[in-house]
Amino acid sequence: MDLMVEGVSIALQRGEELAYPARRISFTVKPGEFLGLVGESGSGKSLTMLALLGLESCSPGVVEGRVRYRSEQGQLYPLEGLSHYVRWHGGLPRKRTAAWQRTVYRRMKPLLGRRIAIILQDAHKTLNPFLRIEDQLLEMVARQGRADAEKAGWWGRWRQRRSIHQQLRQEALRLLKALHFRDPERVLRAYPHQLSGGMAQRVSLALALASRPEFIILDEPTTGLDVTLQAALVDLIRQLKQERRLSGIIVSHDLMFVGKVTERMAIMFSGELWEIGPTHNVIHPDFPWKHPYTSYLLSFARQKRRGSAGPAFQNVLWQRPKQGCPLRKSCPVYLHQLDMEQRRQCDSADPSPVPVFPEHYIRCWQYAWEEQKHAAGY
Amino acid sequence: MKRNASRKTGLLTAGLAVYLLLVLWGSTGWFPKSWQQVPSRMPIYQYSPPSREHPLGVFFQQDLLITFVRSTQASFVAGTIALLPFLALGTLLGIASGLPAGFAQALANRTIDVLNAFPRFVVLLLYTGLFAANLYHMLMLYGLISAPKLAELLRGRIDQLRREDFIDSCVALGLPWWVIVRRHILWHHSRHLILAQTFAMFAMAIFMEASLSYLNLGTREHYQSWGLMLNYATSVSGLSLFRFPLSAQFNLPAALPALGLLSVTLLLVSLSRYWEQQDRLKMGRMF
Repeated sequence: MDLMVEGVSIALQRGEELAYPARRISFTVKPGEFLGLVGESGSGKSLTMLALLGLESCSPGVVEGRVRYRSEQGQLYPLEGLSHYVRWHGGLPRKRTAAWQRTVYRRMKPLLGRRIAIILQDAHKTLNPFLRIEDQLLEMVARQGRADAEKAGWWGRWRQRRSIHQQLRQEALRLLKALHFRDPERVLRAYPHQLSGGMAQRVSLALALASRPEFIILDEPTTGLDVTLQAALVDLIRQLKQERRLSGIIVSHDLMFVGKVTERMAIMFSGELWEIGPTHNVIHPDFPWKHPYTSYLLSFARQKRRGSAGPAFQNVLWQRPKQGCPLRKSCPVYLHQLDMEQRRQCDSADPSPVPVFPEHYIRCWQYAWEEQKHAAGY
Repeated sequence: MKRNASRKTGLLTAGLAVYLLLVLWGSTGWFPKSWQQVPSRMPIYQYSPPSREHPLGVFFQQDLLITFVRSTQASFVAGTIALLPFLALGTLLGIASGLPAGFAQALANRTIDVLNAFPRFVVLLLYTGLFAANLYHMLMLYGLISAPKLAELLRGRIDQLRREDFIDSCVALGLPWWVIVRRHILWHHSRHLILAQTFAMFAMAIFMEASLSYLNLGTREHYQSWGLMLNYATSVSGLSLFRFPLSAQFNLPAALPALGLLSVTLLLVSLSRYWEQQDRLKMGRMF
């Protein structure tokens, strides 16, 4: 059960302007592994995750790249040919939206809620306010045994409706107990507004886990949770990884939280991936190779800059320079540490990912120069 | 809160009781024999005052109470006949036009535009001109051509709900679209709207039935109607419709349909308020 994302770009059109909230995103999530996607708000993390499942709401949306998912049984679910639905007219994409949506629906139907589950931001809002938790949870639990139920036929289902309901309820109670609810019966009877932030978060996790997925995407799971609930969530995710052999992606702006539960981490800013590597390397303060933006994020996370904004990296989503590194105008390394020759190179071309360690890539010219020196025998 | 709820339940029960009584009575067609026996030599438009045999008197050589019940039945039949195609087509068009862009959505939107383009009453008159006038068919047609009203409201509701996070979450968790539409959109978020449109349509259908009957369009052999009575009043007795007040006997046939309509309205309003209160409690809001 691995997910392969290859060169996915998402476009967003505003009049005659075109921006890329996600540009040439590539990564792989291996079986049993969690990848953390970290970046500040507005860096395109959530949109990228939605786009992987064909759920992005922006127009024209995905314009290039492909996503492949290999299940536990080795079946390959390709979401290829995304760009097939896009025609370019004068530099602007025109997407055949209806055909695209039909294709996505057809291709994602066997995956969504069965093999892959996604939990969206703000757990309270993702629960239907008019339905009891029981109704929402049983709806998802019932989908798991849908094949058996369909064999019984509608008359069989109608005759056994009480026992089926009881079975589903027991399954839902087991699930809630596994998620450390003290009184699952009470939770089942509750409406979403009667739950606290942490409880709502765990209920939405229960909804996602109800259909026993192999792969799970958590979008900002710590929003609105205090530190104790965050710690509980860390334990829960670790436990699920061990018990269910789950793989997944955790999208968050909380570097430290993601550092506790993932094996690999990707740093995203302004719609692009700048660094991807083992979590320990990325967040360790003494690891020598870091992207300037990662160092910037880490300095905030470790509260060195508490109280002062400092020179911030500028989001260049709508004002991306036509050539050169898009972050250079606000990069402290470019502004304070490079000589004229090196600056000229930063101005001239976009950096490519450079391997600095096994499975650790950074997109920055300073490591490209180091690699060139290394190759030249210095 | 308890007192308020019991008042609403009382309204609901009263509306339901009156409705069932009138519909059942009208549909069985059972009346005491004494009511059905009318002196044959009586002039057609002479009103005979209430007596022991005829509690409301006799008019048009018919017992007025029988006329009232039959006219109520006629009104309810009219309302129901128009309501069924209205709800079916309106919901279907509303769902289709709320779907993501595609052939079904375009077809539904164009159908709504076309149906909206023609005045409803003119379409009914055209239909009468082209085919033999049958009141049932005309009321069904009225239900069909009124469907865009419901469809447009549902389209707006679906458009609004599609942006809600919990609908996105349902899609992301792989619920089939028809389950999302039926369970999460139609039943739990649009039922007030459908209910409000239902009783507006019911009243409009009864009004339309009276109007068509007044114009002598449609078959009227088996039952009486308010419109038909008014027509008789203006044509047979030479009274002008605009000369108010008309004699009580001409307006009385409207009393029971009006009472029936009131009972339906009470029923639907109570149901709507009950749902509203339940939803408010579910959302945890006191006001």
